Amino acid sequence: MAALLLSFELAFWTALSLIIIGMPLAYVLVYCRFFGRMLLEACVTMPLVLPPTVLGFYFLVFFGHESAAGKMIEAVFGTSLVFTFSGLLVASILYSLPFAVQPMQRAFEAVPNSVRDAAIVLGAGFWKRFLRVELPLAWPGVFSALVMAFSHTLGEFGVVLMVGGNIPGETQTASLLIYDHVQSFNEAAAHGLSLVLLLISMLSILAMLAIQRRIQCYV
Amino acid sequence: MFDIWLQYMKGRFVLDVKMRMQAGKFHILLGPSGAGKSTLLRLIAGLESDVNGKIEVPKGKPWLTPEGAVLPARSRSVGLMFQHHALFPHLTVEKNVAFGLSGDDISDQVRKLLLAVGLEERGKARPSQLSGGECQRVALARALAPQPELLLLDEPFSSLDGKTSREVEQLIRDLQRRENFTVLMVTHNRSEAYRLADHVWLMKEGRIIDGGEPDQLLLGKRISGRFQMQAEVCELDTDGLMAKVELLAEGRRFFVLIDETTVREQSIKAGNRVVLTAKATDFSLQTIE
Repeated sequence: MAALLLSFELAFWTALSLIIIGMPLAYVLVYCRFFGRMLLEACVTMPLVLPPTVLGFYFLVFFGHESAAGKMIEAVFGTSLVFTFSGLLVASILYSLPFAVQPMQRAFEAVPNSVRDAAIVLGAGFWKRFLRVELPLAWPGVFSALVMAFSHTLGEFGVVLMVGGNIPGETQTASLLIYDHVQSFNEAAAHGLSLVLLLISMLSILAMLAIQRRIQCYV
Repeated sequence: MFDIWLQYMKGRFVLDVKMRMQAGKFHILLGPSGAGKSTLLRLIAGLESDVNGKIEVPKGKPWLTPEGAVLPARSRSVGLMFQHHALFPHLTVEKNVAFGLSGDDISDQVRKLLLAVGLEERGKARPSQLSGGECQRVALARALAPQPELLLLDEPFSSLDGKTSREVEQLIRDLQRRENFTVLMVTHNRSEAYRLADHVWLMKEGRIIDGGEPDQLLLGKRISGRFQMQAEVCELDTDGLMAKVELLAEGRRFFVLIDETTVREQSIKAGNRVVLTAKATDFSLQTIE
């Protein structure tokens, strides 16, 4: 139960952080033209193709106790990012970044230029245009991003194992516990927990599709 | 007077335009596709950057100066109507029209505007519930709401069918004459230009190649010719906007479409002898093998 709650907590904070970080990132990638834009997009997309263990390994190298960044974080915040919940959260945010940014990017791209131009000519400044035109029209994409980031984090294995270290009660998530159950031939427990994750994933996708359909009808 | 001089380059396309538009008149930019007409509208509205030149307007500060001072698009007193209405799909008709308004009496202003475009009953509807013609009417009301100095129309009738197009066209012309605002409309349709414009600008490859009154420009100099022939009206068939007239002339029967208003004004009936006057612009020529 503790592992399941930890997974939920991690998925919730990751999804929320990704909306806050990912939305401006998606917006910039769609509407801003600057040197290095393609490199930024490649970095955001990379976790899609990068093995989770590689990301976890570099995370440990970069934020480990012996690294400069790790020492600085410990000095400033009094805690390390390795084998802690904070570390899991940062690693999950990095790993799930494309799952949140891409749906929002596609959603902002789908807002017709003529509609944005109409808002500008009607005197709308950046915030009025964003809050009253772009965001309401991109809302299905933002909701998809939220669900994708939540579901993806819930099922994460490689990154959380590398960065969290599978410490029961602290960094052991539901997927790590399923692995432990299988390793110890406790199939019944593995079945139970897997079924819970399966149902949650299915419900998330169904909720996403239902709300998208409602929003599309409304628009 | 609107004094406009714009220079703009994008890739291989170069636009270099000088024009002076009289305030309160209906101006039309006529030219083939790719002439730069829509780009010119976007430059005047301030929707493109990296432009040189000047835009001086009858009231207030210049929108663009040769020294490079640029008034941002949202501060220019411009209304813009697009080819495909570009209404905000998530907002009701009322909220679309109110978008550019501020102050205390917004709902009153919206009501008056919807009344002016004949949509006072459709305020609560969303754009997806409207026909193409109704959408363009809402777009017109929305563009006129902030009382712009200049109304820019980018081929506003091209997505409408013939009958609806004529209705919206008439609405815009009537409102322009009543309220006396300045219009610059883009089209590649000569008949539209001839029917609507006080002044026509001919544009080609990013340049204004000529300008003048529609009669002089479209009939007088380049396309000469008007012809008349006597005919007898055999049958009249009216459908509320146009009249289909079957004529007998020189032993041949043929049909013409004319405004029903003309039929009413001239009291045309079957059996009448009439003189048919046609302008060269009413015809197109095609070689036959």
